[in-house]
Amino acid sequence: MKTVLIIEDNPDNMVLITRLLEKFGYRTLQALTGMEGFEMALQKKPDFIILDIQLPDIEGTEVLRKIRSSEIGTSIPVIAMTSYAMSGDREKLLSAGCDGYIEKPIDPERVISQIRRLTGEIA
Amino acid sequence: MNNKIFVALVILMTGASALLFHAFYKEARNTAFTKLNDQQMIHAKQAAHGIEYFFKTWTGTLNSLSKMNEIIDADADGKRYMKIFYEAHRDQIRSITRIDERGTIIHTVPYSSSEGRNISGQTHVQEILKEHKPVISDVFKTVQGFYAVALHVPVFRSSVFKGTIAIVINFESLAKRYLDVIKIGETGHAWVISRDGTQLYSPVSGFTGKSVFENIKGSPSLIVMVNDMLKGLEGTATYTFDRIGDRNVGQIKKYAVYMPIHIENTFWSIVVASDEQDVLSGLVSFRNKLAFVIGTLFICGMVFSTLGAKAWFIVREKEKRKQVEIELRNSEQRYRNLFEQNPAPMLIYQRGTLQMLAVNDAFTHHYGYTMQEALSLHLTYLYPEEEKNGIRELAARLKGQAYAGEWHHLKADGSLIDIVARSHDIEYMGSDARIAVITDITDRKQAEDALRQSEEKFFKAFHATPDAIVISRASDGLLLDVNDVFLRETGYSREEVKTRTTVELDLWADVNDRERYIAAVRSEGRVREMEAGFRTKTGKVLDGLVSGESIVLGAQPCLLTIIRNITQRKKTEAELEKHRLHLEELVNERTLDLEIRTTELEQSQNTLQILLEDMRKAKRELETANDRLKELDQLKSMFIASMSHELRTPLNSIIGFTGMTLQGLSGTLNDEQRDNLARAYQAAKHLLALISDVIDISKIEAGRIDSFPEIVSLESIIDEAIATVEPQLKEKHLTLAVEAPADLKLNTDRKRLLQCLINLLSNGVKYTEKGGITITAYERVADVEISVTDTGIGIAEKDMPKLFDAFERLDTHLRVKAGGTGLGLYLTKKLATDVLQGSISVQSIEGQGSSFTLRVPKNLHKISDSDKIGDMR
Repeated sequence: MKTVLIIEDNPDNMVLITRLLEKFGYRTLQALTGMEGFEMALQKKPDFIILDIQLPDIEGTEVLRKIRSSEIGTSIPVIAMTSYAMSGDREKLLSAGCDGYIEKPIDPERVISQIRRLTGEIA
Repeated sequence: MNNKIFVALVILMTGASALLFHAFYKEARNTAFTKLNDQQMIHAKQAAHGIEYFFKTWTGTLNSLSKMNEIIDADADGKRYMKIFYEAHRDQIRSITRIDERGTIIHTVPYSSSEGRNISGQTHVQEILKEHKPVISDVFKTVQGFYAVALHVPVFRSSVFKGTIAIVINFESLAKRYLDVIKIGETGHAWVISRDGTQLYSPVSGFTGKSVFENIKGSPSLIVMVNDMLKGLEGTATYTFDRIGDRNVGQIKKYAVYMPIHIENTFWSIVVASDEQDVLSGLVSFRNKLAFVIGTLFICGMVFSTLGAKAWFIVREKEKRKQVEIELRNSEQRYRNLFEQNPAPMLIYQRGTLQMLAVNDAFTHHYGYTMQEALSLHLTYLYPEEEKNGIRELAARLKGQAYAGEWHHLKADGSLIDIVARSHDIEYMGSDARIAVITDITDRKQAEDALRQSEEKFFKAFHATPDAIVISRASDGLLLDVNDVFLRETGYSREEVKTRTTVELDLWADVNDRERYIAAVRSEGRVREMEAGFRTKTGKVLDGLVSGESIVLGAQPCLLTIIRNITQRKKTEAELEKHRLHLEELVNERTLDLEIRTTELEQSQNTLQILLEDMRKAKRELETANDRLKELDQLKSMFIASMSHELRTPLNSIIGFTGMTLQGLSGTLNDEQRDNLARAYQAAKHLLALISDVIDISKIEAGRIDSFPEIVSLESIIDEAIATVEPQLKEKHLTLAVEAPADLKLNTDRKRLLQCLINLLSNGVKYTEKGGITITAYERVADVEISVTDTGIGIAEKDMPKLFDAFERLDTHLRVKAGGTGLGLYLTKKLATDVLQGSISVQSIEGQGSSFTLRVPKNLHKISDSDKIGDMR
C-alpha cells in the first residue's frame, strides 16, 4: 500500500483529496502548512507527495525547493496542485523540480488516473 | 699537375707501403712463434707432469706392497699376492720381482726361471742397495725386445733393509700415453732423453735407446740445447739440421721448448719441437692477404690523391674566376642600380639610329610608358614636332662631349613637359650609345610664369584701381612708386614725387595720423579703412580712407598704402544727417501716440493671461481626477480578482465533493439524488467558469496579466481545444473539419491561445444545431490566422457592433438553451488583443452561420507586468 503525503491548507480540499485517495487504496498523511509538510516528508518518507502551491506559511514552490535540496533529493515524486493554473505556472513548477501537476477543481473521475500516471503506476 | 711531385709521391708511398708490409709481417711472425712456443710448452708440461704422476702412483702402490709381512717374508702368501698383482696390472707392467738385501731375486712373476739370480750389478740396483730409496732404471731393451724401465721400492722389516720390490714397466705404453699424443701442426712432436743422454723416446725409428749425441751429431745448435737439457734446465731454443741419421733432409729449422721431468732418483728431459716451415706456411695466406690489402690501399691512395689534387686545382681556379665575376657583377650592379633606381628619369639611346636601348623605372613612371613601350621608342619620338629636327641634328653632332640643354618632351598621354637633358657618351652592351638624365622643370617654369603673371596683375591693379596707391619705404616714408590716381588727386607730377618722402611732401594733413597709421601697420601688419586727411599740392585737404599693408620689396620693409578719396561722400553724409534729424522729430511724436495704445493692449492681454491660467488649473484638476478614477478602476479590478479567487476556493470544494459523490465513490445513489447532485455540480461548474472569466477580464483590465510565450505546436493546441468540446459535438451530432498546417510551431502563450480557441469552439457548438464546425489555420508571414466557422444561427447586422462587449448575449430564442457566462467573446477579444498581441474579427450571415477569425503573431514578445503598469501611469 502506497503512502501519500498531502500538503494542503484548505480543510475541505484536504478531506476531498484524502477521501479520494483512500477510496483508491492509498494510505494518507496530512500536513496543513508548508513547514509541517516538509518535516513530515523528511520523517515519514512517503511514496509520493501532493503539494498545494498556495500555502499560508511558505510558498509551495519553496517547500518543493527544500525537499529537493534535502536528503530526499529527487527520490520522492512531488505532484503540485494549484487552484488557479495560470499561464506559465506549469513551466515554473516543472522547472522547480516538480514531477507532475494537477489543476483544481479536482475532477474525481480523472484525478486518480492523473496521479497514477504521474507516479508511474500506470503508463 | 706537377710531374715531379707525382713521382716523388709514388716513391714515397711505395716505400711507406713496403715498410708497413714488413712491419706487419714481422710482427705477425713473432706473434706466431711466441704462440707456437707457448703451445709447445703446454704440451711439454702436460707430458712431464703426466709422467711424474705416473711414477709417483706406481711408487705409492709398491710402497703399500712393501709394508705387507707376506711380501717382506716373501712367503707363499706373498708370492701369491705378487701373482695376483701382476695379473691385475699386466697391461702396464712386464713383471714384478722381490729382491733380497744382497741383490738376489727371491721371487719374480712371471719369469720364475731367473729366481736366485743376483742382479746387484745393475746400476740402479746398486743404488737402491746402497741408498734404500726408490729408484728408476734407465730405459733398457728387454730380452723379449721391448723397451722398459724398472722401478724399485725398498722393503724394510722394523727399519732393517730387506731388499726391494720392483716392477718392470713397459716404456712403450708410457710413451704412447704421454708422448705419442703430442702433435703440433705437420711436424711438431716430442722427444725425451734420460739424465745420461739416452734417447728414451723419439718419433724417428731407430733413435730410441741410442745416445742422443749419436743421433744429433752434425747439428751444433742441437748439441747446445741437449747440453742444457742434461743439466736439468728448462727453456726455448731454435736448432737446425740437414740430416736425420744418415738421410739428408735438407736444411730444417726447428723451434723447440725443453723441460726436465723429475722422477724419484733421476730426471728425464722432454723436448717439444716444430718446423719453422710449419709456422711460416700458416703465415703465407696472411702474408698474401696483407700484401694485397697494402697494395690496394696504395693504389687507392694514389688514385685519391691524384683526383684530390686535380679537384683542388679546379676549385682554386673556380674560386678565382668566381671572385672576379662577383667583383665584375658588383660593379655592374652598382652601375645598374645607379641607373635603374635613380629618381631622375634616365635613358640610353644608340648613337646614329637614335633607338632607345634602356630607360630606368623613373623614366617609365614619369613618362607613363611601360618598360616595353619605352624600349621600342625612337629618341625623336619624345620631342614635339617643332623640336624633332633640332634634336636629330644635335644628336648627330654630339660625340665625346657632355651636353646639357632645355627641351620639351612629350609624355605618353601627350602632355608636354619642360625638361633639362644632360647627356654623355657611354658604351652600352657593346654598342656606341649615349646616356641622358632628364630633369623635369615644368613646375619651375610654371612657377616662374605664375610669378610673372601675378606681377602683371599687380601692375594692372596698381594702375587701374580708382584709389590712390602709394608704395613707400617704411623707415622714412620715401616714395618708391605711386599710381596715376595718386598723381591726379594730389596734383603732383611723377617727377615731383620721385625721391621725395611723404613728410617732405607734407602729405598727411595731421602728422599724428601718419604715426598712428605706421604704428598700426607695425603691430597688426595691416590697417583697414582708417580715416585721415591728405593735403594736395595746392594745399587743399581731402578726406581719405586709408588701408595699408606692410610688404617686403628688395629685402627692405615697405608700406603699400591705398587711399580712397571720400571727400564727396562726407559731404553727402552731412546733408543726410540733417534730414535724419528732422525725421527723428516726426517719429518721436508718433511713438508717443503708439505708447498709449500699447499700454491699453497690455492690460487686455493680462486679463487674458489670467483666464488662461484658470483654464490650466481646471485642466490639472481634471487630470488628477482622471488619474484617481483610473486608480479606482484598477483597484476595482484588483478587488474583483482577489474576491473571485476567494469565491473559487469553496466552489472547488463543492465541485470536488459533488463530483466524488456523483461518481458513486461514497455509495450508490438513487436517480433523484443523482439528478439533484448533477444539477448542483453543473451549476457550480458554470459559476466557476464565470468567475474564471471575471478573474481574467479584471486582470487584463487591471493590467496584471502576463504573457508566457513558449514554443508550441499549433496542431496540438487545436487538438486540445477540440477535445474539450468533443462531448457536446457528439451529443449534437455535429461534424468537425480541421484544415491546419502540420508541424507549425508558434512562440506564443499556449494557455491563452487555447482559451481563445475553446471559447470560439464552444460558441460555435453552442449556437449550431445542424451541420458542423470547420477550423482552418493559415500561416502568414508574421502571424497565423485561425478561423472557426459554424453553420449556426449567425449574427444579425445590428448586433455586430456590440458582439464583443461584456455581458452582451444576443437576444435569441437560443439564449436560455445555450447558457454561458456572457463574457466569452469579450474575454476572447481581450486575450487576443491584450495578451496574444493579435486581433479577432467576425463575418456572419444571419441564419447561415458565423466565422470568427483569430490572428496571432507567430512570435510573441513577452510584456511583463511592470511594463504595462508603467504605460498606464
